[in-house]
Amino acid sequence: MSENKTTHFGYEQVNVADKASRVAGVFHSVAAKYDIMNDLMSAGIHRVWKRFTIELSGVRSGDKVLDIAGGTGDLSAKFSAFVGTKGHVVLADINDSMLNVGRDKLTDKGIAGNVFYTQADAQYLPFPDNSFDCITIAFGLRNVTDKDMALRSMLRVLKPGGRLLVLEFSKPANPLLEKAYDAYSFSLLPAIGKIVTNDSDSYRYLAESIRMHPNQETLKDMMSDAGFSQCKYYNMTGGIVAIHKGIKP
Amino acid sequence: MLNTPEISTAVAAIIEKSINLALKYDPATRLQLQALSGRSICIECQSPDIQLFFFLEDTQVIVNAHSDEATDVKISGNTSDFISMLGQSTHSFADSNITVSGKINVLNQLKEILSDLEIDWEQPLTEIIGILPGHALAQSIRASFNWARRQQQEVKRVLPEYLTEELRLIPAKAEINKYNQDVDMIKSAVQRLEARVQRLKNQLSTNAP
Repeated sequence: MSENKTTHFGYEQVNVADKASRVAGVFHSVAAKYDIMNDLMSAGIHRVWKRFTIELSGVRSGDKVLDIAGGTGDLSAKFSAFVGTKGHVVLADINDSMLNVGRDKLTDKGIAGNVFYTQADAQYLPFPDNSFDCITIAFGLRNVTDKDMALRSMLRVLKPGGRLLVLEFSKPANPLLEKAYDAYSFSLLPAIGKIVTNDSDSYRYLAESIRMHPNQETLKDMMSDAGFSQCKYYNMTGGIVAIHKGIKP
Repeated sequence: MLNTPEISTAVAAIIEKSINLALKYDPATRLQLQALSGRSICIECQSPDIQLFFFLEDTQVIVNAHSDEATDVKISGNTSDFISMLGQSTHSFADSNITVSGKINVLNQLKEILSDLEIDWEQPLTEIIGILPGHALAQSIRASFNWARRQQQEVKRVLPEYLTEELRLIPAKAEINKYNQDVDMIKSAVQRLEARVQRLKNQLSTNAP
């Protein structure tokens, strides 16, 4: 008899096999209004968080970049300009709705030629070993079922000396800020989601999944355990968001 | 305050956008910048503390507030020194508290390229308000700039004359030169006298019983 392993989907415990499809349901539902919701929820600050991630990446002309959970392509668009014609960017997302929105957005902006699109699971990246100079995963890791497996997969496809950058919601450093943030994300966020996307459950899942995600120190240790070196993190907006950086030895 | 990643990153983003927008409307300078592709400059300002890294990549400039890379040139100083230097027409680091280290030739090349920067204001104006009003407004702006430049040159030419001849607040250049020559003559005479006195002293000491 096979044992039914469970994992968290927000505050709910679900079978490991079911999590990916439940997460997929959330993103199918919000894909069309994803960018508008990001601007509304963060008052536009998500652009600064993403830009800081790009600054830390040190991506230059000729580099090969993998943007996992790239969604609507905010990071890929910038990377495309930096790597130029000598390099390339792979925008990967497990969710085809998000990938379609991202591909259409970038194509409409005239960003083409050095950007490729792949529907891929972060746990089983379909690329040869030592393929990329830099990997980013922005607001995607907390939705991955087995985060350790995903980190090991990223390590495998990175070139030695390559950088991994994980931009993700984290734990606020100040207890007062944490209280205000809790009130905002459990009351206001689902209400905004209801008005804009007619889906409050997806944004309740967002708030819950953030609380279930490892805090700064735990994620740093997970990266070290996966084999990354020089692991460190940068808190932004009081720790609401953190950027973790690790290097493949 | 500027040390928070959000603010410094936002400042870098604004500067980057402004530079690349200016370059967009000056294709000649943009092409010249290609010669410096791959070069980088770090500007380190104190009070308020902020570091900006400028990476020249093909025809664009990338401005970062954070970088682990070593840059070709590093320019450090107080923010007030940078601002006062921008106000000077010569933009010289001499006699300023700004220090420059690294490959100075990169900075000289960049200075030479940027000295020819000539933004075509007509293009962005016509894009915003249409061809005819854009052209008319651009002509007015050009005329205003030319008038201001002529006035500046005229003031430079007339002001010294007015201060010396009319108000007699400062001496004329010829008077200063004459005064300097007199001072030099006295200086030489004093030095000759000093040498003669020294010679006499030496003679007295050698002739002493």
